Amino acid sequence: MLIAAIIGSVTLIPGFVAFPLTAALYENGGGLMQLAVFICTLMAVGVVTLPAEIKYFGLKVSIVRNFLAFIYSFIAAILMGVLLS
Amino acid sequence: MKKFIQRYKFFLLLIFVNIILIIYHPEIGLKSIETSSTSLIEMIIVVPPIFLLLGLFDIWVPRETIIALMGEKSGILGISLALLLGSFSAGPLYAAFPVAAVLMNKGSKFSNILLFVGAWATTKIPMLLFEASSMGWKFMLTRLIINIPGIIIMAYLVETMISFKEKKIIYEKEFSH
Repeated sequence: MLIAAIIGSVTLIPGFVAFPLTAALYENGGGLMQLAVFICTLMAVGVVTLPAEIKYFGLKVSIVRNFLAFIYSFIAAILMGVLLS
Repeated sequence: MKKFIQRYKFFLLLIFVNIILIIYHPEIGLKSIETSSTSLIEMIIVVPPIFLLLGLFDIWVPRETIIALMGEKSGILGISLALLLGSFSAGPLYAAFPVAAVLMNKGSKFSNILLFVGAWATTKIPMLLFEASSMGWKFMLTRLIINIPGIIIMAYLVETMISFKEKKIIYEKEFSH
């Protein structure tokens, strides 16, 4: 799950590429929680775009926002795992 | 030359890594070039129209309007507008930052800006439809319902964590763009 979250954080792929990918992974036995955390971090955490974010929001806000989003992705994914399975 | 290297150091480093990849793992290397070009094309398509629209927005919408709609005293209206504006957007998260900058420049409350960025990241309507078609409606709705309170909690957490002075610095920076 941690690996999925890290991959989601560092990658920058558009949703129309990501969703078919996660759907394919799910059909082939990928864990729902792992895929959910990947989707959440992919959307809300952007390590690649961090320099741009810092330019606009400053270092502190950017780091805090990305960090909180990373943590919340786990909460969301665990909740989803519990609710959907 | 030195300035060029300084400015494009990451880019040059990535090209170097990619060349090595192509030599040793041609398959991964080619895939990497393919992904890079897709992202580059996306950026070229998305960024110029956004800046164009922002320019028009900057001229056409008076500061007073945004202060009334999304400013310090905008309350629940500002919150809903921020979430809706973010949700009706399209395009990657990095496109949200310049929009956020203009909104700040026009006097938007900082927590509303954070809500806007959060919504842009996770509740984009075009993406939700796409998500529903590939992962199912149940998955999409569950994630949406869990993520909306998350966006709100995070926005207020970030706002309380930064001081008035830090906020002022960020706002002043937007003026200089």
